[in-house]
Formats: sequence, C-alpha cells, structure tokens
Amino acid sequence: MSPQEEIYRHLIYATAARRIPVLVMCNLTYRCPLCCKHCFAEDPEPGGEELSLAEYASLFDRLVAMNTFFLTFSGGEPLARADFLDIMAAARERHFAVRIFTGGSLIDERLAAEIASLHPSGVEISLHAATPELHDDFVGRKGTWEKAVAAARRLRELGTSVVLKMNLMNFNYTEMKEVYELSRSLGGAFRYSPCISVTNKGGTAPARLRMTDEQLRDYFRTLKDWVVAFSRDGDACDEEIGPPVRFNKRALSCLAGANNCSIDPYGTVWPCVSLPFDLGNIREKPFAEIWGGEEAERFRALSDVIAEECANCDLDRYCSRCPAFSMLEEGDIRKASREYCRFARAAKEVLRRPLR
Amino acid sequence: MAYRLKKKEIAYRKIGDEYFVLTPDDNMLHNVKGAGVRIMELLDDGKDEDGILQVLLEEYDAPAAEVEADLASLLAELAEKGIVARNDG
Ligand code: SF4
Repeated sequence: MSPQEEIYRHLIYATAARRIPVLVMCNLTYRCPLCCKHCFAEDPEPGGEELSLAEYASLFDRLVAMNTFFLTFSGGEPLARADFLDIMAAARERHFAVRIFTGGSLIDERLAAEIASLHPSGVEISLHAATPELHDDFVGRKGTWEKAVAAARRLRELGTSVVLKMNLMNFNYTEMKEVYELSRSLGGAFRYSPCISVTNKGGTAPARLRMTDEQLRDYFRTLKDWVVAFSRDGDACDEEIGPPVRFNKRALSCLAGANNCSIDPYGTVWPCVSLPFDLGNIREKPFAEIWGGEEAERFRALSDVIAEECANCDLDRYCSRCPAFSMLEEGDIRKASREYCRFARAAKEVLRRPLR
Repeated sequence: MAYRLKKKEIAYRKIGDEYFVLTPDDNMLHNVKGAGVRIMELLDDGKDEDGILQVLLEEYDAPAAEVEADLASLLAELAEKGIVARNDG
C-alpha cells in the first residue's frame, strides 16, 4: 500500500469508527442543461425551494464543528446555480476540500478561472465517449463534448486537478481506452464505472444501457490487459476519498451513513444519494441531531445484518455489491443484487482470479 | 524567515489529535501529527515564526536553542509538502 493510500485508509476508518461525517456530498440542485440517458437523479421534490447561500453557509459552520473535511458539490448540474461560486467560496473559507462533479458544458474561460482561483481539490467532468457526436447524442445537446474537453484543458492549464469520468454502457464501452488516453493527454486522471444504477426513484430506463453479458466479458478482458495502466478496478464507490472499501457480506457493505452522507437541494439528509432512507431535514433540525438521531442509528444497524443470499456465495471475491442496487432494484438492502451477481460471474469467467 | 499557512490554497481539518491537509497542487493528502499539530494550530491563528517560538518556549520545558531548531525543521518539512510558504515567496 502506498503512503497516500495508508493516510486515506487511516482517515476513512478512523472517522467511520468514530462516526465523523468526514465526507458530505451536497447535491446543490436537480436542474441541469443536459439530458443524459443514464441519469439516476430524479428530483424528489420538483419545484421545491433549494437551500439558499445563507443556509449553506450555516450548514458548513455546523459541518466544520463535526470535523467534515471533504465536500462534494454535485447535482443535477451544480454549476447551474447562479450562486455556485459564492457557495464554493463559503466552503473554501472554511477550509473544506471541495470536489465538483459536473457535465462541464457551463465552464467557459471565465468560470474556469474563477473555479481555479478557489482551489478545489478536483473537478470531475463526465465524458462518455471519445467521439464527440456519440457523447453529444447521449447527453442530448450538440457541442457538449467540445465544451467539456475545453473546460478540462483550461482547468489543467490553471493547475486544477481534473478527472474525466466515464460510465461504461452498451454503446460506448469500446471507447474506454480512447477516453483514458484523452484524459492523460490533458494531464488529468480517468475514472470509469460499469455500474449503471436505476434512478433514485427506481425508474428502470437507465438499465437499458447496461452492457450485455458478452460485452461485460469483453470489458473484463480489456481490464485484464490494462490492469497495470488502470489504478482502479472499476468500482467508483468512495474513490474520491480513497480506495474502495473491502467487500463484506453485511447488508450495508459500505460506509454510507458511517462517515459520509448526502444532502439534497431541499435539505434532506440521506446516507447516500442512491439510498432512499430519509434521515431528516436540516431546515427542521441541526445536522448534528440528524446525524446522531434515531433514523440514522436505525440505518446504521443494517451494517450488522448479513445479506442472506450473499452469505454462502462463492463469487464474493469478484463482487463489490452496492447496497443501493439491492435496495432500488430488489426492494431490500439485505438481498443480493442481480446486477452485481452478473458482474461477478463475468469477472470470474474472464479473470479466474480477482484483480485486487 | 516568516512562514504562513497557505490557507487560500490548501484544505485542512484537525480531526482527533492530528491534522489532515490536502494540497491541491499535487493532490496529496498529508497528516500532521505530534509537535506539528501545535504548530499548525498557531499558524492557523495567524502567528508568525517568532510568535510560535514564544508560545512553544512557554509551553515546553526545553532549551530555547533546541525548541528553535525543532520548529525550523518542522516548518521546513511543512514547506516541502506545500502546506506553508515563506512570506517573501
Ligand atoms: S455475486 Fe451476488 S450473491 Fe454473490 S456476493 Fe455478490 S451480490 Fe451477493
């Protein structure tokens, strides 16, 4: 393990053990200029009143008091908020490490310079193809690929760390290598994930984009050849704060709610953006009360429950089951995820032994 | 030589008895432990090297030359990591 991984691991496990919400994802808005076909984000409260700058500033003060260190701004498109830079400045004044998840289409020269001047720890730009037309068609807006790549290039020139993020689907997975090379040529990092979730309300449209079994095997063959070049195994879970957590057979197999959570634009706190367990709303109660409250404890208790179907599974070494997939698709966090079982079967068939 | 914490550039938080610092230029996460923690606190309070030395001399029962040398070496280490910078540069 590298010294960097050791520090991350130490931070992650120390904060999980002490229930410190070290990473908070703020979904600043569900508005977005794009229409990506795989989008998981269905607005839970269309027309609701988004948290104001003042509400965010007050939330950030409370998070400082609870030792939160990493803040991720996501959406929707977080940059669609007119006050995005003010929210980010409020976070940086409080010395949070801020990451931005964006489609990149709104970042022009001026905005790139303003973002860079606030020293984010990274800007993660979704880029789902190396071929501009393929990406533009997928996100539903012409010219997006050019804008996203120009944004990545400009941010790199300004010294900001950039990640190009790609979801691998049946129409684009063969372009993984090209997107990887593009990210390298820009001086950025590359992250990819073959996991396509249904929407946060259980809508199944994104599932139609999943790779077929044969494509999955093809993907794992590529991965096998590339394992030296790629630092990750494809599971994007928790990557922004370090290595993925080791898989276990608990119903709650990750650290959602233990040291991280997500807050939607209307103030509701969730253990994870994809886990529909309403822990409370910061407009009604201070964050600390929600984090230490009954709902949160009830959710955390799931980490003591064994996922029954996984208990005797011999594919577990190839599996990093995401509890949100079990919850949203199987209706029960304790169940196996058929989608992860499919990954695990394909991985075993091709790899013969786990990559890590 | 006066050092300052690069507050505008870095991200940092004291968690338990150590500081975690992220330096965005190289995207590295550092943890500062032991004597470095007190120095980070004093830098965060806006103290310069002389000010930090005065506080440490009051707090530690050790020869002044030793405290001064330790402080200089810890500041140099923090500078190497990109956590502090000299005021003149
Ligand atoms: S492969 Fe399926 S049954 Fe086995 S551990 Fe993964 S989700 Fe559970």
